[in-house]
Amino acid sequence: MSVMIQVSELHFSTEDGITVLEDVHLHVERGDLVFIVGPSSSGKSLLLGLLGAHISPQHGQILVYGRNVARLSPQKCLGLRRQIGFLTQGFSPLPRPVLDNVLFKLRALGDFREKAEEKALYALETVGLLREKAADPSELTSLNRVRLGLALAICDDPLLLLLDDLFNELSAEEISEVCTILGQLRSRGMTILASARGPLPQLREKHRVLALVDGRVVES
Amino acid sequence: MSTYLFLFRELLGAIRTRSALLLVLSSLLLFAGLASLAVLLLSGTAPTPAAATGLAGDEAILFLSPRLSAEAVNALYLDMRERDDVEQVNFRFAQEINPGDTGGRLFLRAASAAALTDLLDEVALLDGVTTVERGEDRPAPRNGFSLPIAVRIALLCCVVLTIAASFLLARSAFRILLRAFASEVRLLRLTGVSERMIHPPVIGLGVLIGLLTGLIILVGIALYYFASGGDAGSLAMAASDAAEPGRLFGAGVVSLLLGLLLGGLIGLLSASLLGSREFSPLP
Repeated sequence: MSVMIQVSELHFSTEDGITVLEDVHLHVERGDLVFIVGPSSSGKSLLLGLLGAHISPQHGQILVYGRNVARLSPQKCLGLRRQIGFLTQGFSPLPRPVLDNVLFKLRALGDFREKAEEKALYALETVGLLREKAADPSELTSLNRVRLGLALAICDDPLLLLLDDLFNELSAEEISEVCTILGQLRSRGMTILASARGPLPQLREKHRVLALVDGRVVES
Repeated sequence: MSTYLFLFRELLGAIRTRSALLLVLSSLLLFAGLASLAVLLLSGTAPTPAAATGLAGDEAILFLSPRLSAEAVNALYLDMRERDDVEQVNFRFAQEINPGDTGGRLFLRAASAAALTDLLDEVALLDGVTTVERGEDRPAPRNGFSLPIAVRIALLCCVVLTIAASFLLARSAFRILLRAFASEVRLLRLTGVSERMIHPPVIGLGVLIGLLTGLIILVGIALYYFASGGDAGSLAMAASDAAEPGRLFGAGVVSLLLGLLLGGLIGLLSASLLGSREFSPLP
C-alpha cells in the first residue's frame, strides 16, 4: 500500500494566538477508512481544510498523494482539490433537484451532458439515492442529505474523500447505513478520512478511529 | 457547451424577480446616460456662419490703400451705398481692427452671392483697393442639433448622474444575484474550479448589459437616420441633414463602445463581491 496522507509536526494557531493544532502527526494509507473524532471546535474541520488544500499550513508538513500542500502552486493546488471529494460541515445542497446538484458539479468540471449524467446517476446509485433523483433537496431526510453530499463528493471519482462532521443529526441506525456506504467506497480503492463529534463507540469496533485531543491526534 | 457558457447560463438562471428588476432599472439608467451622451456628441457646438473667414457667402471686405484721401474714401463709400446690388456697407479704419495696420476697410453685404461676384469684379479694378476678401460661398449650417449651453451642461450632468446611478443599482442587483448563486460558487471553489472560470460569467453579464444598451442606441440611430431619409420636410430630416451620416454612426459606435466598457466595469465591480467570506467554500 502507498501513503495517501502524511502529516508531520503540524501546528496551527488562530490570528488571536490560540493554538488549535499542535504537533499533529498523521499517517493514512491509500484505501484506508479513518475517523477523526473530537468535541466541537477541537480543530477537526481545520485539519480537513488543511488536508484539502483550502487552508495554507503555518508550520509543519502535509503530504497528500505525495504532494507537499504548502509548496503547491495555485494551479496545482486546484488540481489537487479536484482529486479530493470534500463534504463540508453543515452541507446544504443547491436549490435544485438531486440529480441536477450532481450534474452541476460535473458540468462545471467540464464534463459533457451525457457523460455527466452517466457519472451522476452512478454516484446516486452508489449512495442509494437514485430513486430520489428528481426530489427537491429541501424534502430530503437528514440521511438522504448526507447521501447527496456523498454523491457530490464521489461523482468525479476522487482519490481521497474528506468528510466533515458526517454524522451530525443522524441516528445510530443511520450512522451504520452511512458506514456501509463508506465501506463500499473504500472497497473501490477510495481513501476516506471522516470527522465526527465523539465518541461513537460503534465505529471503534470495525474502523480505525483517531481522536483529536488538545490539538493533538492520538490513536483511540 | 463550454464550461464558461454553462456557468453563464447557470448564473442567468439564478436571476429572480428582484435582481431582474434592478438589472432592468440599471440598464435603463445606463441607456439614458449613453443616449444623453449620443445627443451631446451629435449636437456639437452651435454652428457659426463661415467660420473660416467670419464672412458669409454674400459678404466681402475691401482693403483700401492708406494713400487714398478721405474724400476718395468717402466717395467710394457713398458710391457703394447707392448701388442696388449692395444691401449694407460699413467703413472702419484698419487700426480699429488691427492696431498695426494702416488704411481703411469697407465691409460689404451684397443682395446675393452672385451679385457679390459681379460687384467684386468691378471694384477690384478701382484705384486704391489693394485687396478683396470675400466670404465662402457655402450654405449656412442649419441649427437642427445646436443646443444652448445650459442644455448641454444639463445633458452632461445627466450622463454622469445616470451612469453613476446605474452602477449603484447594478451593484445591488449583482449582490442579490450572487447571493442566490452563493451555494454554487462555494461548490465550485470546493471542487477546485479556478477563479478564472468563476469570475468571467459575472463580468460577462455586465458586458452583456452594456452591449445590449449600446446596441439599442446604435440601432435606434440607424433606424432614425433611415426613417428620416424619406421625409424631407420633417424635423427628423432637418436633424439628419445637420449631422452627417458619419457623425451619426460615429456617435452610435461611441455609445456602443462606451456601453461595452461601462458594462465591463460593472461586471468587474460585481465580480469583486465574490471575494466576500460569504462565498468561501469552507464554513
